[in-house]
Amino acid sequence: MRRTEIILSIILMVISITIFILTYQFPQQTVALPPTAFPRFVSLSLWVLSLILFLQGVKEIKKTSLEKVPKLSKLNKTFIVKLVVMIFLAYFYTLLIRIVGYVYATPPFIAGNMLLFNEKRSTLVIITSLLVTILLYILFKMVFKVPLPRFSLF
Amino acid sequence: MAIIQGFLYVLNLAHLPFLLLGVVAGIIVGAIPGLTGSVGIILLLPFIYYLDPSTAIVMLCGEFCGAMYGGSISAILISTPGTPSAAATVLDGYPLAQKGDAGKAIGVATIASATGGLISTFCLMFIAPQLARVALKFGPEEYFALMIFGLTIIASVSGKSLVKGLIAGFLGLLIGTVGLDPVTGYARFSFNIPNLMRGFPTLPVLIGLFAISQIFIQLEEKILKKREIYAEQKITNVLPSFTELKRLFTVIIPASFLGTFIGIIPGTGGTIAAFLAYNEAKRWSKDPDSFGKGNIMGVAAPEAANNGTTGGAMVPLLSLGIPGDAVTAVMLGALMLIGIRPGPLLFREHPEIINPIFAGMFLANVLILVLGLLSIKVFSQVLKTPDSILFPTIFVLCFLGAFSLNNSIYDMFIALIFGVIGYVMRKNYFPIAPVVLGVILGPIAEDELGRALIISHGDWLVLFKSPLAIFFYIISLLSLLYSLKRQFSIQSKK
Repeated sequence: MRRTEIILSIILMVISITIFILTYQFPQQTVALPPTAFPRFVSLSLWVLSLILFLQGVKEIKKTSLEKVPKLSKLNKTFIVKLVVMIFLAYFYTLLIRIVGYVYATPPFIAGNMLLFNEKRSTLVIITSLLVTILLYILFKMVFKVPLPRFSLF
Repeated sequence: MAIIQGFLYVLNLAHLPFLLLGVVAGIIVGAIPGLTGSVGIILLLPFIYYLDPSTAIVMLCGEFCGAMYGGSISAILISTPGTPSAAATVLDGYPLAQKGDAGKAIGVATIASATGGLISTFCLMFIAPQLARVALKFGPEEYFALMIFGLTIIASVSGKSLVKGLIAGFLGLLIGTVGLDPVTGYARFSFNIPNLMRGFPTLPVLIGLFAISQIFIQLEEKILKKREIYAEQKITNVLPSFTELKRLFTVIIPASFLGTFIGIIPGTGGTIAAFLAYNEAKRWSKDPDSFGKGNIMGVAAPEAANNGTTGGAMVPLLSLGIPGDAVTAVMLGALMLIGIRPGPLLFREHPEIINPIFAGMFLANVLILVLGLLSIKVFSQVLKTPDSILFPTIFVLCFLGAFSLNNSIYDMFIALIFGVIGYVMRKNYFPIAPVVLGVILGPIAEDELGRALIISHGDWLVLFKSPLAIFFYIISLLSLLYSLKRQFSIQSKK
């Protein structure tokens, strides 16, 4: 866990330095509070805090010295694969829904997620994905009059 | 009296169903471990966006109160608190269920929650308008100082690590700087992308950080089998006897006031109130050794206190515009999304909203009492919903919610990105609530600071000339020092 904290703190330090540098692209304005002021204050503070986290992580690692990084169990590997699949599934849903619309994109998305949650009953998967799609369609489109993405391939 | 108009508004058949829906949704969301009141508010947002502000806020209040109570159901039945504030209820609630008294435990939890909520609503009705009257005298420098105080609450809701909490808060502040600068109108960090010129949209950010990240966590719990097996509990004899009830009220009433007081203090919340009330009930009990083994007082006290925080937390939210706890922090974001900016001006510019809020909170707690006692067997069935159906449905709901605000696929994408960020943060014990505080309060603080400096022609000393502002800076510093002291004492115990 401390190793992850060290990596995250380095990432945060890089982000905060990048933000600080990017503020030099803002126009220099002689107003009471220029647009650079707040982002610079926040990015500098973030950099300092990330450094503190980094030092805390290093101190802990020195204390516990040569702890071996435990190997990932089979269950952990399964979870990581499923998590990545879920994220990609969600990403493709956002791409697909723009083209084929809510009605056609949503059932496969729900079905895919049910399978990721270890649902093995195929009838239940099919029925649930269709039923939920229809119910949410009724709720959003008909009850709350919220327009949903429509088929727009052509 | 104006409050009667508030009741007439809420009891109107055009509005009452929304309060009922909010309470029911809150109880269901609260009962499901992993879904908190914050997630419930976020999932309701796409629906309330299209309602008029008074109805919307009444529905949110119903959800807030319902969720706080709903956590007790799973706490008692399956020894897993549905919300963090029900953690203390597990201590005696689950042992009672194991002895076959699940019905009695839930009945007492219902009565205690409703009483706590009602007492805190009365306090809200009297305290909030007075505090708002004082706050109406605030100028930009006082508001800026108040926002600083609100942001130091970040330290209080940070959990175990102050540094991680502050990092989360500053990340939220950084997210809030994307988009148009409030003073000059310059588009910061937009990289000429039109979508980024309006900044990161708040609703998708909230949906991602809270709800989508939670779905990823639920997947992990499912795969790594961290979830307990749900055991069947028979629910009978929900109502305690009159003698028992008289005895219970000797604990419920003080716990309700304790919860209200704790709720008013920003940065505390239901969990602290519940444990404090539990400890006090045990300390004053004639049989303290029976606590932890199924003492009904051990259910009544924390439940009265945690629902007591609902009205209490609304006091600083409505009158000052700063949240009392993590859930009201999300509620603050929700209110701003529907065009209501909580604060003293709310009482002056939108008085038509205030009385429905008071009436809505009152009636929400009455509904909790009625629904809880009559339909608890129905609510407990919610716990049997398979994860494989529940969480994919919530996932779609999250995306539709993100989409519905601006009819924007881009917002769905933002929700997904922040879902991944939220998951990484939570896995590494970075709290999420401070990000929300930073995103919401940061732009307000910057705006007020800019205003103060424009009025004073660039004189930064104006921030320290007001006694009220200095007062807020002092309590902000004390809040930070207290959190630091708490951190050091936790670390030294290790």
